[in-house]
Amino acid sequence: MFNKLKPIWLVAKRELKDQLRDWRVLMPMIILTLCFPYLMNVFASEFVDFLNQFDANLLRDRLVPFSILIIGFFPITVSLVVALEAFVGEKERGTIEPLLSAPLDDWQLYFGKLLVGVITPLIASYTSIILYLLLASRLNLTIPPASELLQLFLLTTAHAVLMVSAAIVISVQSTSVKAANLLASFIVIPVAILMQGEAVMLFWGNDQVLWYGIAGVLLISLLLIRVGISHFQREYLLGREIDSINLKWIVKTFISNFTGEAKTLKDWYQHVLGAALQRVLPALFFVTLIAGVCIWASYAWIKNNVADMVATATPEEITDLKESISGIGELPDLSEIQDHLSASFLFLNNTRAVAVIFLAGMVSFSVLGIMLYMLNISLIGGLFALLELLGTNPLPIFFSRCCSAWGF
Amino acid sequence: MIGSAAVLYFWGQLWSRLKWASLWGEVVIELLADWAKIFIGLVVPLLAIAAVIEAYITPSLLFQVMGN
Repeated sequence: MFNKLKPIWLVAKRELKDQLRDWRVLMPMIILTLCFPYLMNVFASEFVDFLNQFDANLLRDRLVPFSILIIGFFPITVSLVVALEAFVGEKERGTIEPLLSAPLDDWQLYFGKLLVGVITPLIASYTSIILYLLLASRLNLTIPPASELLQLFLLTTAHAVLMVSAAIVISVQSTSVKAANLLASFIVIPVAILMQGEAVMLFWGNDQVLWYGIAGVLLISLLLIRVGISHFQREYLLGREIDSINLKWIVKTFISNFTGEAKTLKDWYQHVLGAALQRVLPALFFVTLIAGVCIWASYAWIKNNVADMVATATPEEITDLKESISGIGELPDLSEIQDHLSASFLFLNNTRAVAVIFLAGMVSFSVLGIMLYMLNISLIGGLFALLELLGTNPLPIFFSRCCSAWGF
Repeated sequence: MIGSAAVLYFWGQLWSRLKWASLWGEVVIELLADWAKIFIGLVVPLLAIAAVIEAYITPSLLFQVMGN
């Protein structure tokens, strides 16, 4: 086993030596690693002074964990360039041939590049975080407990593995370093959006949810590594063709695929759409399964976690709760529903929801699209359970309130 | 549900069918065409039917059942 892992370290060592001997690669990393914590500390100091005027203790207490999250992220984005040019850079410099002719398996080559791609940004991130913690401890700031620090270090590691594994996939598939760098925005932007969600979790202070976040990010990273290895073809790396954009060909191919060989609309529905639907069936089955699990999970969660709260709540609190979810204690005037909900409004609203799921899914390997869908569908189970707990028959409300939000 | 499944299908197929980068374009267009077929041929008509049901039939049924 050790003999099989040794070549991975050889590839990584070769790459590390290559990086460490070039000051142009090292200097930006060193400057950013050392200067950014200092800048963040100055910002934190000013921010704390500002918050003290308003007695905003919550924001002040969560400032250090949030800063650690940001400080850990920046060196990774800068060092990502190293991973992005892992294969395509070697191809452009003409050094890929000796590497590919070495007696190494594809997976050993891949993991060697992945290892050095992860190590470099992680060293920079950890150094930045430790430096910031030293600086922050001199200010009157709340340093997070050890368990939260562990979470933040793990989250930074998960981000690094996620971004580098995606960067290596891009590096293998790109035809030039320029293209790889441009494609990197598809890594940086989704991870930046993901971090906004994680920042909300940090300010919320729910450790358990953050653990789920870490597990989710690591899971996606493992999937990316798995996909990267399965699609890694050393023969392709030697090819030097450039993918050019041919609009005429794109339109022609799309129309040809869209219409199939159908002559009439009936023929199209029967054969072309029918065949496409058959191909989507496994995904549809999976999505239906997700729907079932989400409805059940949200129903069970509300029943387990909210039941005690409802049981110990005063009648005034129950009334407030009922009013807060749009007066569910009584149905709205049904004669007014038709005046407020027109068919065109519902159609446009639901079409917009499907379009948002499509766009979110397209920029996130379908992850965000499925998450939006899960969020939407979970409301049904949660609302159903909440209504039962409040002693209201959920079925009429279920039809009147949920159907319009559900759509298809 | 069908819309989400179509996006999941798109990425699932893209990852499983891509072996050579030179085929990226063809595979992506083919999968986008599949998504467009399902969206235009199935999702949009179903959304239209659902909108009509939600706007006209559901309130009438509730009106009869609840007597409001």
